[in-house]
Amino acid sequence: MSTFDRRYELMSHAELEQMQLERLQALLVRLRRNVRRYREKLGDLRLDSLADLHRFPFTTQEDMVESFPYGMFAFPLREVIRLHSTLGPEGKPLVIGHTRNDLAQWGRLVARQLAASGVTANDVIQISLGGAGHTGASGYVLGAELIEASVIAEDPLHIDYQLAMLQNYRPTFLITTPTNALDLMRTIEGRRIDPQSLYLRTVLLSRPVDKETREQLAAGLFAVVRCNLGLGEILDPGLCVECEVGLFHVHEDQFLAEVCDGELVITTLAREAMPLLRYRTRVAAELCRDKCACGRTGVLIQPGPRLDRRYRIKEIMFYEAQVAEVLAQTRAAGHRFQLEASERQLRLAIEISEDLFAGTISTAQDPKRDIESELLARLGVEAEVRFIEPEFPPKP
Amino acid sequence: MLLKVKNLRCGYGSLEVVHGASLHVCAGEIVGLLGANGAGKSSLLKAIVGLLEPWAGEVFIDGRLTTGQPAWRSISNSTVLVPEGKMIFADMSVRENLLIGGYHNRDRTLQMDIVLSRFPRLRERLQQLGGTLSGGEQQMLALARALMGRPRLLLLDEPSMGLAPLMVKEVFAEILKMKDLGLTVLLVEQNAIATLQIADRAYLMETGEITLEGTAADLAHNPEVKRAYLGKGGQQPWHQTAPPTSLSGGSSGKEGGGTNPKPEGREPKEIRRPKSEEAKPRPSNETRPGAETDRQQLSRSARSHGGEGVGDFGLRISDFLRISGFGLRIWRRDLTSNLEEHTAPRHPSQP
Repeated sequence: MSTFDRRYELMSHAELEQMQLERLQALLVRLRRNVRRYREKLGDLRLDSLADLHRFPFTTQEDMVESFPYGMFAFPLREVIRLHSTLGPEGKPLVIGHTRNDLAQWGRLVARQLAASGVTANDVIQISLGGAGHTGASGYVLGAELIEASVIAEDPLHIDYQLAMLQNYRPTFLITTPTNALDLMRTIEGRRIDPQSLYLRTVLLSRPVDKETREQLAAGLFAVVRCNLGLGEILDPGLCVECEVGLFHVHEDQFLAEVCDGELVITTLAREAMPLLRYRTRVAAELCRDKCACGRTGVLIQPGPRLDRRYRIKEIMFYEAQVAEVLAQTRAAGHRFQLEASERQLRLAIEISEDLFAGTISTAQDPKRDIESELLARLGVEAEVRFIEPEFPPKP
Repeated sequence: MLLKVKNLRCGYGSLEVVHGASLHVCAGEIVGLLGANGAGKSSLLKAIVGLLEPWAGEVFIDGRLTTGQPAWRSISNSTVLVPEGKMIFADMSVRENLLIGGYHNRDRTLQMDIVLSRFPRLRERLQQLGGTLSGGEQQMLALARALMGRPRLLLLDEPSMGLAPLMVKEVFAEILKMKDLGLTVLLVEQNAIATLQIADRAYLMETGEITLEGTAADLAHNPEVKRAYLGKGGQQPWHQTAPPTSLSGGSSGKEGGGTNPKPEGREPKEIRRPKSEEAKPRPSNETRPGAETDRQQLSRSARSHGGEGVGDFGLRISDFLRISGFGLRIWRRDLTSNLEEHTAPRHPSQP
């Protein structure tokens, strides 16, 4: 087993509990002093043990939307040196700030994941996360630099170019999205390239995948496949470490994880710029305190599905409201529609009406192409639009 | 964990000073406890050893609950407190001071040999009265006396207090050496710069509550700590700020910290001063020597109430009066000079 922060990763439960209590108490003091929203929420509540935490109020995505952009910051913006924008409820943006210490800590947390995946100073790392994964990529760079591994500072978009880099620069470690990894695997198979001729040793995927995909990728790329589990609003990557056994351990020195009604609730214990108290993540999860063979003591987490209706197509995430927003700009404004997301494509069924084609002389092809190109341009999602009969015909 | 404190509350009379503090110190660590004057650091330390009876909470030393036990028992837990202001016995010789420190120790003469080999300067002054030693030597004597008790956990209360910058450096180097001896140190300090240089971890205490916990490096880069304790806040980096214009006789050039690239040499009281006061130059014609005592009291009380509120406010009003043209000239000068007195930093050459 290789660890990066041995002291924290293997910390005994008693010590961990004491540290969490201390950090939580200090966090409450800071929140009360520096964030108005929390000052109003918390009142005079005191925390004497971790068991008292359930009495404290949640932080929801709505809180973050209401105090958008900088209302949740515990420091003046001048001290915040990095802003991460993530997707909030119904496609609204959320801003997460980081101070210098936050970024340094982020690097250390990612380094834990990299070290657990076997990265050493001898490795060459290629990061292919695409434009949407830029935030995550910067975290991986921070972590890799701490381990002193070599990072290729380029994010090739095209699969051919990625393959050329794999052959030329001989990276031993590839960080990519599951979709991209599958594409790469198919390309390698299609070109009849021997995956063993590449120097790839490990592939780290940006999100968890099922067992079959994992095995398929491991065989197709001839490499060990590891997964990352993160949350945009907390840290992605950097929330958990996937150990050698293949289980996710939460970094409990930094995050306090609870499960309330099946939903994962996270408290950031040491974040400076934007600490969150009992943040409802809208992700289902199970926690388990079982002892893990790897020796890490962080609580085990088994991620479940999302609890809100967030779609993902080729690593691009969006909400139905965003689709409705795009449609509002087209001829189909105000029409009812049904969404269906497959792995690669968005299938959109729009209820037809007369005004959809009013004023056009040409065929029904036109509005369809309009909507599809609009969705591609605004959301980056390939869509296939079809028109369907209205379920309830309009009243005469 | 050698020392574990959970939700400790204590105070004096009916006044609660520490409102539920939790901290821990692992074996072999140097842990700093930072904070301004009156934050409750020393009270917390006293409550840990039992000099002050805790109102609530628990103290575990080496896993054993020691809350509420008398202070003299703490020595049997291998815990020794070096109190604030050295507190050596001035009328006794260095040798006697050391022997008292090892009173419970049967082979104290042997232990004294070991301790004196660490502090050779004390060996030269064994027969000298404690009170005749210099400030730095007295602090060394206090440390040596504590080591005579063969502690595992050493609680140091402001060892840099009242020492010249060079002596502070020496004392802190000595504390760092104690770590190599296998000692565990909880260091209560106002001198944040020096403490964060030698500590592994640190806590920040403000008005009776712990507001931050982290590694020393993390705390040193925390914007809040930088602003309030390291004097590096504001828009300007600390090494670029001009030293304040010196008015009434010379020696305040050091206060700005601008000229000194090695920060460990500075005195703790200067470090605590908020940057906002230092960075603004003071007008030259408004300092009256007679008002020193008032000014001292006010600036001290301002600082002990968490720092810069009064100072900032005062400066802003005086700036406003200076730039806005209304008001009688004489009245204005009176008022601004008053405000300057309240907000001007204490001059180090004054008693």
